[in-house]
Amino acid sequence: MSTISLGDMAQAFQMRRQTAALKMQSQVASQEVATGIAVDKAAKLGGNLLPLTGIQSSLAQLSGYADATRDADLRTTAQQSVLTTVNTLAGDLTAGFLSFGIEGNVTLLDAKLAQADQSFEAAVGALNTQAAGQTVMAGQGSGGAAVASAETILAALQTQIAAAGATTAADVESAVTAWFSSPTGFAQAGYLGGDPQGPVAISATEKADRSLTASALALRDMLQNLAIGALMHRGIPGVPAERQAMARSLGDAMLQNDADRVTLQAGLGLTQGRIEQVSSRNATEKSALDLQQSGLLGVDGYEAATRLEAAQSQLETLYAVTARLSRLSLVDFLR
Amino acid sequence: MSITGALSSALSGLTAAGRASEAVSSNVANALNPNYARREVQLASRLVGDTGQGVTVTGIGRDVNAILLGDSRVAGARSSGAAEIAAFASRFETALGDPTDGASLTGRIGTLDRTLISAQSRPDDEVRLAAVANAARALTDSFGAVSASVQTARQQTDQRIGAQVDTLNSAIRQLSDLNGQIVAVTGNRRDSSALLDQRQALIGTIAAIVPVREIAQENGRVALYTTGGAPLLDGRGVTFGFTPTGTITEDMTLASGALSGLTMNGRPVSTAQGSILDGGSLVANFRVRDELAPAAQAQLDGLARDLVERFQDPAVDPTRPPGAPGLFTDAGLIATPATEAGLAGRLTLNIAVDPAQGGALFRLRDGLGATVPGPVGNSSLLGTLQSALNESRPQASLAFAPGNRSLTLLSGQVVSEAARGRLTAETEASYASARADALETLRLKDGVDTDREMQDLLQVENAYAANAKVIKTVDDLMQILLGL
Repeated sequence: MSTISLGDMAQAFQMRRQTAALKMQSQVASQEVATGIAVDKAAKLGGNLLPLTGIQSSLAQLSGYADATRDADLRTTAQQSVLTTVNTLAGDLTAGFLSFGIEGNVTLLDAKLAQADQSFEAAVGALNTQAAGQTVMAGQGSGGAAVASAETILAALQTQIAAAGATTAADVESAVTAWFSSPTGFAQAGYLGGDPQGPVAISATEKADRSLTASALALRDMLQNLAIGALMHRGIPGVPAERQAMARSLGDAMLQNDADRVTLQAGLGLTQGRIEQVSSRNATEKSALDLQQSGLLGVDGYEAATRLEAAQSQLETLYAVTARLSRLSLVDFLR
Repeated sequence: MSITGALSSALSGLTAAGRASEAVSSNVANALNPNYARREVQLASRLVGDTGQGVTVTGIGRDVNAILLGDSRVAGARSSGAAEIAAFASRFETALGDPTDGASLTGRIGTLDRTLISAQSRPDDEVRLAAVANAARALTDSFGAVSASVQTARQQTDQRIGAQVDTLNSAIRQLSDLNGQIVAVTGNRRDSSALLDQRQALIGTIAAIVPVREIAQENGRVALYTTGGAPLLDGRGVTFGFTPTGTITEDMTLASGALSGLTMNGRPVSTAQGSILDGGSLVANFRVRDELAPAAQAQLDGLARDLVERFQDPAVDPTRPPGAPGLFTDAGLIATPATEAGLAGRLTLNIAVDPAQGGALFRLRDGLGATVPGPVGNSSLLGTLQSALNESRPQASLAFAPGNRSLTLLSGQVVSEAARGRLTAETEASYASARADALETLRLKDGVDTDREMQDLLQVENAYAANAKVIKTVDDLMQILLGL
């Protein structure tokens, strides 16, 4: 085979191949310059996509946990404000009943009892607070009310007292206490919510407590104290001496309960703080993962731009050569 | 030597120049025909008695490098085979999707995880429960789509094999006829170059499907053997047999007899790697249909089985009656190890939780066996579902090496394996194609060079003019003699 000739098609074939290869290179480079991410992710990772799928799965979980921490935050904030409301309602009365124990001013007592009647209703309302469509103190029964209406509870208590035939302060008190602590009393007719909700996962390793409901002991005692006040306002017991004895012991009970509620609130505050912490930790983790992912897939912009420039200038050279070569034919000179 | 001798020599020169110009014009006309071999007029001194007188055209040569042509064919076959493998690998990887894309298989597993976490936080929220159901349904759809893509690839490959076998058979038949014609033409001492070109083109068609070596025989005949040694044409041509299958499902394999194998003259012939037909796109296609696609499907089925088993565990949902399917089902039934094959294509969401099919979303929260909604704030089952999705558990499927893996890890492995397969196949294909292209370039270099043809034409023109001048001069000489 003679080496003195070079087939026309060989040249064209090679030109086509080189043009296609260079165009491909410049396309890849231009896409990488525009996105900053490797076009062929698998090749960039050497065929091992596990780091990438791991990051993606963690990112998906974190976006779920972002929902969970937001919900938990909303819920605990709403619960905290419920506790603050009932604190104000009960705290105002505590001082009144205690001072009655010292001063024995009966006129002032009647005014306090009227206030207790209203406060009981207000406290029931506060415990039924809804946030984002859920009753925050109702546990698993978050779709409905947490506590029955004030009138229902008072009526049930009156029936209980009448049934026991209680007339003395001690008898009335024990009848009321019995109703609040009995499984067929408050637990059935007063608290309408469900069992406490289980803890919710707010990160891959941490859970937030959701057990606070209106049936918590401190809240139940508070309702009991306010209910006694409301009953006294409605004339139970009727004998003045018994009423005064009952008001005195009520003052002591309320003082004790104030302290219990503060403990409850402090516990909730701790949970809130933890949710806040986990939430910011999750956000940090998310940005760390984003960073890691762009580290895995990212392309050095300068390097990609250099490649693009090189491919383009090579392509231009190739076009120039093609044009030059196609003009170079003996036929054109044979005139 | 005499004047008439001079006249006769000049005349033979004119004839030779004429033939040469014919060759040049044919070459130029075929400058863009890749199967055309350059023609060259072969000249020799004409002998009259025992002395040379004039020139004679002994034949028309075809300028072809047989070794290069053979190598180029084999490299081309290998390149087209590697391209088929790479195309399938790339198709499977694309079907699985880019892991950073939410619509990929791994992305959808992530979405299910996310919606479960979110629903656990607000189990009373119907919208979040609906999001879980949608994510689960999207995941089953994803499995179905990838599985369908694998089976479609098998089916299309099967059709392509059918078409290739038809091409092979008709090319071998034509080649056998051509062999006969060439023998006849050569026997009559006529120019068989055009027939040879045609034969080269036909062998090229065959070589794209199976790698062949051409063996020259007497009277211009050729025999054709595959590089593995199978005779395709040796005096008599073989006939291949293959029946394409209309619809291919996961359970149909060559071994089960549901798919057609290849026969050669009615006898079954192996289409495995390393068989006598190996090295071209035909065996590569069989490999895709019988080996690579089923392997891909097995990985997918193993992954689907792991997903189903995670939620099928009796400990996950106590309300579910024993023997009833879990959150994910095998076409509505419980999945068993025996039915693993093709599970990915049959994967469905339990209709009990699918509102579109008469189910109710509350069962995601209260259990698949729940008849009435329970407390709306109960998140314990949703929590269990989410842990079941993420826990590290042993995989019983034979598609994976034994070990404990989470679903994320397992799906990551499947995707990685597909990516690695694609990268390897692509490297192989680009190497094979570079080699084939290099040999093709070399072969094309021996093709028609119009510049050279023009140079030849100039020479022919000069030779013709010179011979004509000789005749004129001889004529003048004769006129002188006659005028005496």
